[in-house]
Amino acid sequence: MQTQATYGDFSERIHRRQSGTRLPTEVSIEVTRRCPLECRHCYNNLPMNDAAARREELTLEEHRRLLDELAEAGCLWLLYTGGEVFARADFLDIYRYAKSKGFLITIFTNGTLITPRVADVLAEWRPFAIEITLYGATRETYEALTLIPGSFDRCMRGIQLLMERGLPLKLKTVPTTVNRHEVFAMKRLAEEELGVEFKFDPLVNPRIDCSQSPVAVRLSPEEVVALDLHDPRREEEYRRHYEKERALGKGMNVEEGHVYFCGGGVHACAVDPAGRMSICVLSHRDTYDWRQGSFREAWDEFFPRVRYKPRTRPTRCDRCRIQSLCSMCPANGELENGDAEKPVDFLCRVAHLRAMALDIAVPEHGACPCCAGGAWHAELETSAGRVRRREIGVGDWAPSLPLLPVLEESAAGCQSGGCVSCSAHS
Amino acid sequence: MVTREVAGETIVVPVRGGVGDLNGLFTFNEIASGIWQLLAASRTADEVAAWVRERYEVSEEQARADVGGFLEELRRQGLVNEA
Repeated sequence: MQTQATYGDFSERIHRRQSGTRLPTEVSIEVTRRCPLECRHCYNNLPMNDAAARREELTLEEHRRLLDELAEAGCLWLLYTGGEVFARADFLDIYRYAKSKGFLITIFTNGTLITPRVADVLAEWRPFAIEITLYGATRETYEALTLIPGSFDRCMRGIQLLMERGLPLKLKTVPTTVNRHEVFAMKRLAEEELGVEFKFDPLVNPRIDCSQSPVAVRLSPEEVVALDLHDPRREEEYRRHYEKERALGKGMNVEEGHVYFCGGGVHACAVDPAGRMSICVLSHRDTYDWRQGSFREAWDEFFPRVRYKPRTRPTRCDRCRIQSLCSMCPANGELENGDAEKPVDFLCRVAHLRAMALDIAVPEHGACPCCAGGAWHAELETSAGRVRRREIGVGDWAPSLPLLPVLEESAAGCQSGGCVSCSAHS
Repeated sequence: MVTREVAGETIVVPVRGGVGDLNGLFTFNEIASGIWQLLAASRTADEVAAWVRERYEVSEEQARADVGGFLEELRRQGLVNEA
């Protein structure tokens, strides 16, 4: 009669049991989009004093009712994210209630609002994990991205408070043109000085309100792939993913006839600050207003409709065999192109360059601008050569804090469906 | 402690006091889940042993020994106290 298992065994068993069924075991809840930082790459942050944003946030009582419904539906893993979760004065009340319901809770935070009192509560009601995003290893770089003086010191204090209490902390970053030269300094700080896990993801999306401003600090495909190859673990991971896809004999991110292919709507979903439910935190075209219904109704009626939405046309992704090297998904298509089915050119370039740099041959997959004969192929080949020869000296990157123009919105508007400021929706 | 049913599994999650991390997560197999539910309904060790004997067609002696061992494990993990 088993009473305890390693977490890995347990998690694997639950996921195996879920296979072939629809069970909402993982839910992400954005408690607010307000944030004390003004990060240039962020896709959803709003000012702390945004009264309209605050007014529409679910109340504490609504959060409690939502959590009751999620527990009843079989949710176990809960992610609290934002904005900045601690921007809500009552977040710890929401959190403690969630803990009392037995959820395994992960918190995403920037750490700047963590005080001794917050850290003490977290120590008493331990989360499953806390992930803090670092924006730089130095004050100058960190604050060049967050645009808030003093934020670096507040983040470091937050990290220290959590470390002192032995909380399960992980650090991560989003490499951008502003902090790219400090990515590996942040990694050293996390892994060698603090002894915690570190990861990075250079995927920067346009904002959900259809502004393209984050794209101004997005790394070039060449820089993204140079970072991959500078980190042996990351390079190895991509090779492993690719081998899995090769063994599969088909693209790993295509589901016959459906727009979506991920776990969204199958074993996961997201809730925005106002209680609108969607496939994930990035996808806002199709939403369900929980305030006007219930989680059960959303899960049983709304999510199957969205998750199994039929595709309307073929794309160049269909026969692509390097999907394991690519971050393309319908939500990215929505944010970037206003069209869940349209491939994101930037991601195509990154994936093909990654394959070239790793010496992975890309099988022919229809009219693709990145492949031989395509408009971008020669440029990508040149880039791949530079990356392979390590001419993109990641270790030599110098601070560069360019003031880049905010890109124009497309004439058609974003058409994201989640946008509240775009004239295309009015 | 909170008992949760997830994907057909019974798990016990300690919520407070510094044990809410991975090491504090308890999972039960089918028979253990049944026993846990009986204990949650304030059934005695004898009643639990009778349930095991009936359901799994084992001798009374075997059922008592198995249940006793399981209860001892639960006590050791701090999941139950003597009423």
